[in-house]
Amino acid sequence: MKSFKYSKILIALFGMFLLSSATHKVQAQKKNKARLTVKYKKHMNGDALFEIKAGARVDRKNVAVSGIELTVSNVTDDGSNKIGSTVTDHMGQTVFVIENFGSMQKDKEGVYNFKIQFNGNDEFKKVSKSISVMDANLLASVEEIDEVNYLKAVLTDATTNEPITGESVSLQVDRLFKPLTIGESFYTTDADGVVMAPIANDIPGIDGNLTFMAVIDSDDYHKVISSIDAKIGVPIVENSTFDERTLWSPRDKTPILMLIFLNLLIFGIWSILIYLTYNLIKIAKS
Amino acid sequence: MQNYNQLVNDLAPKKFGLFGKIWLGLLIVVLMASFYAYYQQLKDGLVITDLRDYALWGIYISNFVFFVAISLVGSLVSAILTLSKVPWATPLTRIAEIIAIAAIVMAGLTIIIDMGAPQRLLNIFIYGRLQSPIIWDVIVISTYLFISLLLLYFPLIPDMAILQKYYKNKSPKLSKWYGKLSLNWRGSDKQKHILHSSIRTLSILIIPVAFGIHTVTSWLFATTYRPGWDSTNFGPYFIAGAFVAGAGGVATIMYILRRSLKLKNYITDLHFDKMGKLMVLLCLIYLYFNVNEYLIPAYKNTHEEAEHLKGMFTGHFSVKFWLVIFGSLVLPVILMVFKRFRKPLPVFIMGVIVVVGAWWKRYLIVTPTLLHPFLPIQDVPESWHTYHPTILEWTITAGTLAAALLIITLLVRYLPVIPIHEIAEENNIEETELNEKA
Repeated sequence: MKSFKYSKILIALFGMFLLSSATHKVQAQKKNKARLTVKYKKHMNGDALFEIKAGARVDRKNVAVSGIELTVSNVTDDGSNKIGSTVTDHMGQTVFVIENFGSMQKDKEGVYNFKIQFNGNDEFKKVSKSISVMDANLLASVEEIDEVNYLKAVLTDATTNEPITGESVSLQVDRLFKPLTIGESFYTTDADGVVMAPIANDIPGIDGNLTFMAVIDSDDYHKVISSIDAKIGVPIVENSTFDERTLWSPRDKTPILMLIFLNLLIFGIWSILIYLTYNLIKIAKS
Repeated sequence: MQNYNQLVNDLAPKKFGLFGKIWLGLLIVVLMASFYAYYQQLKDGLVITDLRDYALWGIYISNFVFFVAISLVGSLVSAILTLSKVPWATPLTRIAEIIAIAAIVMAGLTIIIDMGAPQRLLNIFIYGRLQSPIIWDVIVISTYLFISLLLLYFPLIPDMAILQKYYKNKSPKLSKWYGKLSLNWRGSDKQKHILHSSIRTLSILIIPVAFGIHTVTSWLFATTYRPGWDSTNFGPYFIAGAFVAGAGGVATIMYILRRSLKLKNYITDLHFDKMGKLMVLLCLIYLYFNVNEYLIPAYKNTHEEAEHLKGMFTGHFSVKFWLVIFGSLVLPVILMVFKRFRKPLPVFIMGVIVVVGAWWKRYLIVTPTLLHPFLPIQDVPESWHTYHPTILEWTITAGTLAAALLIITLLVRYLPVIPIHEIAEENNIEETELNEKA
């Protein structure tokens, strides 16, 4: 009876051990869910691209998912075509440039569909993100009307070439840290897809060169940027003291007055001290 | 006053007694420990200290400023009091000069210690700019050291001649050295004329240079835009503080010398009474500058200044701050206003308190400001926001203090701490042949 009881306990303990090992294995295999954020951006003077960010919630903390390979595909009515892949950096970010945007396939409604996919790894589950883009063209120009310069932007649908009306466009001039808005925060395109704002005549620029930008950021067209350079700014006069003799310049550019005054002071005092030292010799000889 | 024989006998340097030997041994032990700590610093770099991007100046620079402050005593007693013809100052001039030399030598060495690798000193000559207060400090410290050496040596020349005769039979070897250093002094009119005019020139010259050294040292801080240092008043504030520290140093050393060398007839109660009064005056002046330095920023109460002052008044540094202000500045004033506290022992105790307070005052000038910059440093470990000097750092610092005391001790061993010739002249004691039995 007693031996039966012990054997039962041993079997129960062994069973618990096996169960705990299995649970541990399951826990070890538990993967985190990655999240993808995708933004489409089209530079009229450059490329169309995706700005992708991969993140995850691990141990109640938001972390960047770095070093994962993402596949970018053009989704059509017939299926999808892989157009390339990219890998996230240490911040979990990457930029994928769409080479030859003109060769991309649209759906029946004239919308470009893309899918960014991560196939999963030991740590994170498989995840994908889709994005639909309508292609627009934005053309910025600087025009002079009655001696006043205006920044003009024309927004058209790239497929139909028709003007896009009622869309918000922001007009800006490029600055060192952040663009400066020209006029209102945004203007709405008229029936011709045009917005226009006067440019102040006191904006400084190197040699008077300014870079103006028209920007739209909508749900359908996403971000489209058009920029144009114009030499209509106030030339910046460089006020550098680099070659001058200042208190903050290198040793070979010490201010002359300081050089004279301090050297006179030093040589004056040390001349007296040398004379006084010579007095010691005079005492010894007298 | 006694006769010439007794005067020379009283004031001639004496061999160390038991206490002197123990004292010397103690200093050497501390120095050895600091050499070991410095070797560690040379080997591993400043990482052995707690100096980091925030507290980039710590107790080394506090110690440097303290030494510079103490050295001002040379100009206070040797120059200002002597030129003002203060009659009681004569016995204290050499003590003051000895302290000044020890302090200024160690100030220079402390800067080299703070550099980490000593060869970095060369960078001052290779890359130094005349526009920089650091270069002004190097120039003015070297000049002040040279003037102090001359100001110590010139008045010593007649004493060397006296000691040459005094030790002729007692210690011929020592006599020979004193003879060489006496520069054939015979007391001729020409020699006296050169000597007195040289001392007078040095006494005048040392005043602007001494003011220069303290002003330039203060500019090392004031030209750096930081809370607590952004003041146009820093020059006089430092000079006033240096006078307090120097006077405290003289009061301390003169008591020890009076007791150990049995100089009661030369360093009298009158000297302690006068030094007590002088310390009261200097402490009051320094308190005035302290009110300026703390009240005005507190009144303006900008965010960064408020943080800095909060740390001082009620925060991490408050205990040290109030102990320094009340313990080493207000208390000496209150006590030494009364005659009974201007006796030798109380003045000595006050002197020690003032000197210790002066050291911590420099720490409070240097460290809290560095921990509260206008522009916080980003992405540094949390531990870098505080400063706790390491044991090795303290050991090296203790070594510099011991080295200064060792210089004073050795100079006291071989030089008459009270000018024999001047005392004889002032008291109209005729120089006679020295009696061997005296």
